[in-house]
Amino acid sequence: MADQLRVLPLIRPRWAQVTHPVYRLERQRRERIRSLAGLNQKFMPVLFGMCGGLCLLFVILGLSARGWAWGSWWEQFEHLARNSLGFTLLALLFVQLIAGMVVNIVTVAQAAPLIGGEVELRSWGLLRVTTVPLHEIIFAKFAAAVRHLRSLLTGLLILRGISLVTGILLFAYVVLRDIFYSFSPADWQRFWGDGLWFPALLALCAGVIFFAAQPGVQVLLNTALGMLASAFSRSRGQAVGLGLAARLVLWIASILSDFVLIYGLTFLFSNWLEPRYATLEAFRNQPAPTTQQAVWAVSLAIFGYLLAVMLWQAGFILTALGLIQRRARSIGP
Amino acid sequence: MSETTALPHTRPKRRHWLSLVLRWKTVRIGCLPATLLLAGLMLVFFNAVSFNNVPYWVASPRAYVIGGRLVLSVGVLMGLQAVGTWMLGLIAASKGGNAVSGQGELLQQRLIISRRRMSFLAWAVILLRLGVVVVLIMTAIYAFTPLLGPPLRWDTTTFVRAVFRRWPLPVALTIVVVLTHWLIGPLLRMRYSTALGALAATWAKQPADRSLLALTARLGAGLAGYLAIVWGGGLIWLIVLTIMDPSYYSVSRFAGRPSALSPSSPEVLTACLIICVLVLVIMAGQVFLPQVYVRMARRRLRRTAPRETLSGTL
Repeated sequence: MADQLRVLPLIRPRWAQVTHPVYRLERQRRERIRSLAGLNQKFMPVLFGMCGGLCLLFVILGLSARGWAWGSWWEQFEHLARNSLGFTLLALLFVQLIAGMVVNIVTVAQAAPLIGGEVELRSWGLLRVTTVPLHEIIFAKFAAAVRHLRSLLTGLLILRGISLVTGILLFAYVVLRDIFYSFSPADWQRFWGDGLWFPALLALCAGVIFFAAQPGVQVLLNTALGMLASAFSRSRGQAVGLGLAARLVLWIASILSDFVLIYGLTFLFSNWLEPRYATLEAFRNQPAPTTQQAVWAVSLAIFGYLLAVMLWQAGFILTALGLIQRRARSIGP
Repeated sequence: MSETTALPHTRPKRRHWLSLVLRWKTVRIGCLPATLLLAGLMLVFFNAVSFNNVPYWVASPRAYVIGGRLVLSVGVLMGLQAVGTWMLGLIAASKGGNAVSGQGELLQQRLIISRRRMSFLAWAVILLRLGVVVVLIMTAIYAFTPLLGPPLRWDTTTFVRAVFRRWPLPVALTIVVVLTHWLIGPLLRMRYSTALGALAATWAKQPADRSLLALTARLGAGLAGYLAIVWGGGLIWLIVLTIMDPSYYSVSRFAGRPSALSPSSPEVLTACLIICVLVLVIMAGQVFLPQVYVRMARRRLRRTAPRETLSGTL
């Protein structure tokens, strides 16, 4: 393990190594921030404690509210196992929402003073007259800011992993007990022979990758956003305010656009799947799609949507870094 | 150097060690009476404010009131012991983490001392668990004996009596195993948590981080245990159902079996066996894992701790 860690600097870019002066300076600055150090230390125990306590609470309250299922004893066990998984997932998602919000705010607040702070302290000019190229200054600051959030990121990734396994188990219950259970031999033939498993698997894989990658992507996105706000500010306070406001706007915009897109796509699909009851005139005279067409279309839509969101996030990070460089060139001493 | 030269204030702050010792002693002396008092007050309060009005549709008001209050008492005591057990685990892990020092030669002894110092907490939890057992015994007395009036008839009474008559030995054995673990559980948990805390603390770069790492490990282990039960139970039951395929529509291996668990069915025996095996596995883990953790912690300390020599620290 130690040997592997020693190899890591070799694959790291130059601006993310301790030998780089800007990266080292930023790291030292961050190590002196007590609140950040405290947050890094206490995040994991608080997260684990919250997860354990809330999962137990949700399961106990949920099961006592829903009571026992009617039927045989094996059905009651199935009900218990399925509901335990469901309420655990609910609790985990709730903790993720809270922890994710905290990490997002901390990330933006940590990244926002990176350039604005230098401008306020009048040290940006000094940095620019060194032999370190501008892009290395920005990337080194970016890497140093992200590095000090790794404890928070690890916690969120562990939580995502746990949620993912719980979600997959619950999904397996739904698929095996509710869908595959009622499959006739003809359905099985269609499922395997016509390759209907492939689009479903594609959509599932895209969902898993998207869900698992989000903490890392969000940290990079928020750091880029914070730095972008920093590049357009003349002081640390202004940068933090601007960064948080931008994050809030981005958050609301993404929720609204996701809602509109998902609702619109669902509406179009329901019109296309059942043309007899379609509210849109254009779909009424169309023939109803076959099961194969419907599965392919729905799966590809999910896959495409998730891919588009991930590409948008990656594009935003790269564009923000490009804009930061462009703006940083014109910042005075 | 002149007198006026500003020198950093190097004198360490005075520690109020006496008050700390006194505080710890007060906690040690007062823990058991406080636990008893708290449990007693809570039981009296909850029993006084609930089950005072019997609904008109209840056939046997006496069975309703006594049954309700017994369930409430078990609930209160279970809640209190759960909080106590949770706190015991956290405190034990923290103390275990702080017991780590040097190269770990005296780690075992230091952990024993730590455990002894907080054994009063474990005894408080055992006392609460004993309370749960007492309430359950009282329930059994109310249900099966005429000692406290005519025996009460609850829905489960007939089932329990039939199970006892059909399978006396397996059920008694299961009760003994569960009861043993229930009562010595806090001591085993304390032992496990101190060892886990000590192992986690060996990863600390500075002594101040030991306690936090120990707490992280303890909370992480708790979460892992919970997930093991939920995931393991869910997965096993999913596999069982997929293989056995119990269905209303198709003939299956479950077909012909009664839909409700009968006291005379062999499933009772299977349930007893599963419970016994699970409890014994958990108990074995709590007994043997601490030894492994301590050995690992000592090995890690020997490898990573700086060695002190006559000429200084290497």
